Amino acid sequence: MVKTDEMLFEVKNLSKEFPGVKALDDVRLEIKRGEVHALCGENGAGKSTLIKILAGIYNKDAGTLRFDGHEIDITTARQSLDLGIKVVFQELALLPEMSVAENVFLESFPQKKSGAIDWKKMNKDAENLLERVGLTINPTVKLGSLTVSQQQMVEIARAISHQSKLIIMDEPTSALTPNEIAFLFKVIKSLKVEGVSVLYVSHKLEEVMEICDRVTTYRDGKYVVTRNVTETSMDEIVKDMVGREIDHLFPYTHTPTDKTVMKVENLSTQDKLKKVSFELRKGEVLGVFGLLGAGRTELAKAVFGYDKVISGEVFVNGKRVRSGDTSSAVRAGMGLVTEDRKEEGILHEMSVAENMTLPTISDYQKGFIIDTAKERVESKKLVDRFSVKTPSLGHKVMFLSGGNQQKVLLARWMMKNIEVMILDEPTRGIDVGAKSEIHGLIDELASEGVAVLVMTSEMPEILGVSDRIMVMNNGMITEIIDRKDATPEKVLTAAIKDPAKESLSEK
Amino acid sequence: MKNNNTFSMNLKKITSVNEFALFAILAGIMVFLSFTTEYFLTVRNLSNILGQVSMAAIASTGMVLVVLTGEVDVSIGSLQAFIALPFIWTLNLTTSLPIAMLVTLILGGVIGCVNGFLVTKLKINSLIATLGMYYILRGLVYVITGNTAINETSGKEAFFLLGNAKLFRIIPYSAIIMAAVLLFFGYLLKNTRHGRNIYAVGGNSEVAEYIGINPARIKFLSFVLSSILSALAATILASRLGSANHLAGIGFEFKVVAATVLGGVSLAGGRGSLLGAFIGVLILGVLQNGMGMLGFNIMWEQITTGIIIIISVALDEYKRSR
Amino acid sequence: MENEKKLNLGERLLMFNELLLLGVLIVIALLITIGEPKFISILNLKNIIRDSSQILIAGIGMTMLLIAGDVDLSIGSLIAFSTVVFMDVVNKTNNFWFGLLAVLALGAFVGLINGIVVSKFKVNALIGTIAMMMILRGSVYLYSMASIQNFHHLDIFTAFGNGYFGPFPVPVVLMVVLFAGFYIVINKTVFGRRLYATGGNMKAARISGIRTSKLRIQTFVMSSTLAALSGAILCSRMNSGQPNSGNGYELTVIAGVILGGTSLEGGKGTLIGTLLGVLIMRVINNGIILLQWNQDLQIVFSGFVIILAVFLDNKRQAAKAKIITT
Repeated sequence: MVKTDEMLFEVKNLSKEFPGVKALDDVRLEIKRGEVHALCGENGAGKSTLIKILAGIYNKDAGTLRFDGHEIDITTARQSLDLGIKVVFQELALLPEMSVAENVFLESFPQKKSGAIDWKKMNKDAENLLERVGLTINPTVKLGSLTVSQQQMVEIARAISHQSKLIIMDEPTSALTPNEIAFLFKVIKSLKVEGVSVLYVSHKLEEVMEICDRVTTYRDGKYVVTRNVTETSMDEIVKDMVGREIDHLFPYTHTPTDKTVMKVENLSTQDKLKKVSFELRKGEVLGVFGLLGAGRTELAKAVFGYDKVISGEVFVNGKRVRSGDTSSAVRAGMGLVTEDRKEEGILHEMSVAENMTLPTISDYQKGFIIDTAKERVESKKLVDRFSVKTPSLGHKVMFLSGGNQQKVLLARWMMKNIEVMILDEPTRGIDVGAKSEIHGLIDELASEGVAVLVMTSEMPEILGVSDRIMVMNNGMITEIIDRKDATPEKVLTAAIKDPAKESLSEK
Repeated sequence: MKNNNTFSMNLKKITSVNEFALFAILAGIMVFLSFTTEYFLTVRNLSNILGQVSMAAIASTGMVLVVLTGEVDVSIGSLQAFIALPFIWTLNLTTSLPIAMLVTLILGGVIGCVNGFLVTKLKINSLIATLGMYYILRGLVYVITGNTAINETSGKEAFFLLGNAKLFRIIPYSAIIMAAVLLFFGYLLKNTRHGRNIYAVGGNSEVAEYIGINPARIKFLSFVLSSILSALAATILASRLGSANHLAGIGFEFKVVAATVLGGVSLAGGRGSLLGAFIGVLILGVLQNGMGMLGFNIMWEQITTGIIIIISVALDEYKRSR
Repeated sequence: MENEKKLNLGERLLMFNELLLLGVLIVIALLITIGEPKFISILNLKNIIRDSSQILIAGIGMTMLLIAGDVDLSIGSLIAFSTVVFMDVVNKTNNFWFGLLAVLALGAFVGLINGIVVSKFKVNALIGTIAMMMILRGSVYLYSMASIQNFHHLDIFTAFGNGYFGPFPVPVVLMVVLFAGFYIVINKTVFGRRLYATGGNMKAARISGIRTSKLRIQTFVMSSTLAALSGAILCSRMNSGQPNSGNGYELTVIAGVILGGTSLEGGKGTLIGTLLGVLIMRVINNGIILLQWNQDLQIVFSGFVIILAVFLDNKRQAAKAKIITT
């Protein structure tokens, strides 16, 4: 074993600022040669900013980097790769139209003496590398034909294929099956033996405890502490991450009723969902949990009629919602706030008031003309109720903060009597204060008799807000757990259960 | 054993793809025309078709390079007329075909540089930038020539042979040039780093950037090559017309785009092959030839090209959405 | 906003697009007047306004299309088709109104096809309408290889393009009415609001329950109908239906609209901007004629303007991005 105390990589006094946000504030990180080093922190802790600086995608504002005993400066991605820093991104950084082998060797293809690509060698080498990460597939097939988890393994194969010294893995297991995770850990262990260091960025503390040597925690862009894994516990790491014991109380004042508002029957889509059926009751919060690629977002969009389904039906109060026609969902009393606020939510160029009234704008017609006075009065009410921080109603929504934009999007559906509210990752990427306001709002909605469907990947959130928890894996429902029976272990077990074998949704 | 396995997989891959289907369509049309017309299936006619399509095939090679990166170049039609001016001028002046061609290709490259600059440096949508160039070049041709053709007066036989003569009276010289271009760029796309980089940039420009490819550079180069190749096509056209004609190449760009998308090259970038585009060119060429023989009004050619563009792009979108 | 301080002078000017355009228009008009004082004559100004009206009528539709995030390059060919159909139908029926109705129906039909191809088959609007441009140009020659002459000699037909309402040319009156009407539609109605929403963020618009496909098809239909009307005016002014007319018309219209600050990205744009943009284009063309420059320079010039206008729009978007804080 090459295990030494020699430092491979040192980050000191690193800072990075974006307009309005200090993403990284004077942070440090030390990685030894052949070490598996975990980096932990909540959303907004600065992990992904750090990764992007190390990958050469962002440039640092201040700070020093030492690699292999030399002070270095990373300004381009190529530089980072040439140093031997390879990143396995959370969102796949691959080319689906090219072959698996090409994706593995993307940064430098094997070439013949003439300079031509040596396809034979490339395919053979790729096959060997893929075997090493547990994939027995033909390397000449198009990458796009693989499953998400297979693609993730291809990306890992790419990271280990070249002269790598430091491999950064950003939430590498979020799309993997337990079998593949076991294989990944085997790969990491063999990398260690070869003296390659791994920076393991993950929320999943069980994995950190199992595979890592040391763990560094960041909070709100600041360095907190580095600990030896053998000398710490999950509780302690959690405390480091949140800065306090988890005592965040989720408001829970509503009582669900038995009256079914929405009925979903055998919903299937081309790519993901397979015969999903469930019911949603008046005044209930139904949480939907699943790991990356489980089909949460797909479910939200299919139920709302945004994505076309290949079979199955959705009823709201007995009225059928037409697939592919969102206006029929809106008329039936449904509302949807998607996870991608920027791409699918706000209209940047429109004002706060215009954004709020968009789904209900026909209610403001006087003859053919929009009654803007009434529009202002009604939106003012909701701006006050949600305490949206905006200088004026006419202010363009793109100038608001993320949390306030999210409130505007929620308010959009409160402009009328709504029956079913679907929230996909409603608290992703917003600050702690706004987060708990939104949790309060979900409770408030349910108290008013709205049926709420909440998709989330955050365990405390799903346990805190839901009356029932519907767990998905691979496009199917694996289990529906009542609030009183729900524990993190139970939910997680259900999330990795093979749904093809025993599935509620197949009934 | 393993090699055997990959070989059968490769065979499967070949037959499952688009080129095969396109080839079947081409063959179907040819069989149909053989039965319905008297002269379609003659050596003379087929060799004529080969000569006729050579210009579109050469230009479409450039178009493939551009479209694979996710951009498009619609200035190549006007370039046919514009670039013919320096070609004929130089030829008349120097009476040397090689010098005239060299000058033409270099000037073509310069126009490509301008297109590339507009798209990669000024970040103007390529369809708009090259559409602007389309009007600028065509307008300049009208202004410069005063709406007349400029005749070739060097009397060089080589100039006439370039677009009109055939080797052994069977293979048009222009088709030989076309074959050379296709083989060279086919090899480039398949077997060189630059070729694969073109696919990578069109497939996902962010990923390409991360692995150290400079997308702007790749795109710039594609625009330059596209203009040089259409300048090459323009020299053949000029030889066939015997002049620099101010109306030359009107609608040429759309024909080439149509052939390219028909050949399965996705306008979204990153997908398609040179072979597919070439079969697309052949299909359009055979259709044009056949419709003439069947006595259709020449205007039908434009209409079919338009319909083919819409259907091919719609099919591509449908494929992508699945 | 303190963030606006980050902008340099040029970027700040871009933010006041309409004023900037007005300034450019005045400067160009002054320059031409210095070169050729005839520019400022009542007759010439009337001509410019009559000319501009015909283009603006198509420009109203194009502005709406661009706001919705689409574009239509087929209107040049459609206008050629309209002139031919207009003259032919009036010749055959000896009734001006039948002719007008036929032209408007033709426009609506072409718009419907364009709209379906673009919104339902998801063909890129530029590509799809280029294809339609070829189809229509081929079709109009199939309809008639030669131009169709006026055999009916109806007064109302001639007055449509050349006559006056009191002191005002008929096309100008028509334009003003349409401009006012569509100004209200775009700025004050539910349709207008949804138009901006669809172009600004189509996914968000769909999630808000807007039927974006239907709305885009409606916009294509309106735009093509307006273009066909513009063709009918052209037919009256040429006093013939010409299959080769309207070449490059789409370029003049789009260049004017983009110059007016309407973005190809969708979700942004104003009719006032279009008015100024088209006026600038026409004044320059008029200047090229008055100064007796080569008229084909108009084509070259339009090509430049279209590239320049998109370039300026890119700059404007970049400047806006600078202001956004988060």
